[in-house]
Amino acid sequence: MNRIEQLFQRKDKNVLNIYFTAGYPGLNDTEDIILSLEKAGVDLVEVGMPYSDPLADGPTIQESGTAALENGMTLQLLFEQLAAVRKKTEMPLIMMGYFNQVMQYGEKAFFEKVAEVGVDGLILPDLPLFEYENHYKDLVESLGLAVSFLITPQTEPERIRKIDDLTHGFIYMVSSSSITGAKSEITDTQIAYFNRINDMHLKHKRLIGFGISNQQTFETACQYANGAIIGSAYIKALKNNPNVAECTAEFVKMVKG
Amino acid sequence: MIAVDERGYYGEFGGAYIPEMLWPNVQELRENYLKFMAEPDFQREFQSLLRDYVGRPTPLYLAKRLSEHFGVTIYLKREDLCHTGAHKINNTVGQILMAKRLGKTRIIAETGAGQHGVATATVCALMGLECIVYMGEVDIERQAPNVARMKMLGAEVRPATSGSQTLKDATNEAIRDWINNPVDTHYIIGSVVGPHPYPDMVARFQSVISEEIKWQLEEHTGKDYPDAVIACGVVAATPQELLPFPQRYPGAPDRGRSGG
Repeated sequence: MNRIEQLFQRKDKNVLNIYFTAGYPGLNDTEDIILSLEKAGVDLVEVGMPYSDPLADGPTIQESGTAALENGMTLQLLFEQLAAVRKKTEMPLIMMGYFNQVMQYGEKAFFEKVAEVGVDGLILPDLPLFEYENHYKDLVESLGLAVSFLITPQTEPERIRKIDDLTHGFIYMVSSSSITGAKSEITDTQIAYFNRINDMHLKHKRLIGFGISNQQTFETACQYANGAIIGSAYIKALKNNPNVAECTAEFVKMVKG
Repeated sequence: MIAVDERGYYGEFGGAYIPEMLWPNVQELRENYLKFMAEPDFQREFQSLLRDYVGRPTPLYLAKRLSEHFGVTIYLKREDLCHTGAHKINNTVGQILMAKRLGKTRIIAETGAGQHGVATATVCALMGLECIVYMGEVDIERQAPNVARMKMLGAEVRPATSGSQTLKDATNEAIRDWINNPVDTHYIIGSVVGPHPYPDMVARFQSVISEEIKWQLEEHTGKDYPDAVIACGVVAATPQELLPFPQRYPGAPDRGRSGG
């Protein structure tokens, strides 16, 4: 059982997952960010692989990715950074990125490297279920990696069941029909969707992401799922205060209240 | 020719590498595009628009001096004589009919040089549908006349300000728009790119060009098959014109710049 699955065994409420873009604000901030998030009491960290065309992400994350690439971030360097961080923490780590990056690196080599550096899970929003199941699932599972798939308000129940079967770790519930960072509050329509998913009694724990940015939205998300994922709001905080330790402590305190 | 399989693959290439948020839209299209295209009503409307609105068939012209110069017989297929000045409109006419049958009321598109944007704005004006065209900020400056044409046709041209501010970024913005508007919007892609079924659908709408070449060439020469077909201009648009002729498709996911 990997660290993500262990986490959900001991904690199934108010799980806080924070996303950051590797290489932003500074090229070598990865370790500082992860250790600061751990110190601040975050449960799970999502490490964004900076990418030029992040289709599912909004402007905040795209800008941070562009800046990180300009800073010189590469997958090679990120793997080195993560291997070093893993010696210092048992924090569950997830890498998030797009399938082009995986293809460029070489699928098999990528998955093996992810496992080798001690990363526990992956989120690849544009990896189709069919391709995953038929080409990568056996390798990924044999490496003990947890791939989390996304569901949205438009995902049909039958497909949600399929996703529940293929997912490891947790299901990533996209809060609305949108890209990341687009909304600032949670609407009744979204709550109806959260309730509908709750009533399906899925096997996996669920984290709500997209549009979670502060204490209020975090608490609301936690009422309807096992926790939430915050990305854009944290990137914005780092943009305003690039002192990683200080910014992270304040941000997580603001979210958890 | 390598035909597309049920999953959208052309041999080892193809597929639909899209975020889950786009899956219902693409699935809806995948389940319906062949069915709609096979309907007699659809074909009647499509063929009549191609003839009376686009101006098809376009001439096949024997370029005598060019042929003499190279010592081979060269015919020009005059797609430049289509309404709006390019073959792009064959596809946008087909897709606007598709969008209407899917009950969509809002159209988005990406454009680089602006020809596809103009062709999309034109069919939206024809059908009275809202039209938003994403275009890289750099391209907007470079292609001011086409921007003006789109605006005259009632389209809104939205600048893509991220990345290289060109076609790739306009495509990103259009896809994001589609993610944010999954129910009422159809995305008219202009080339044989994107997730399945787009490459196959665009190729089918553009195959009118080679269908015409076959009978026109037979009229001219008694032979319905050219020794070679050369397509120039936007490379991305070339394979579709050759559909009934043997060829290979490019078509893997678009590879952007990334760390690694």
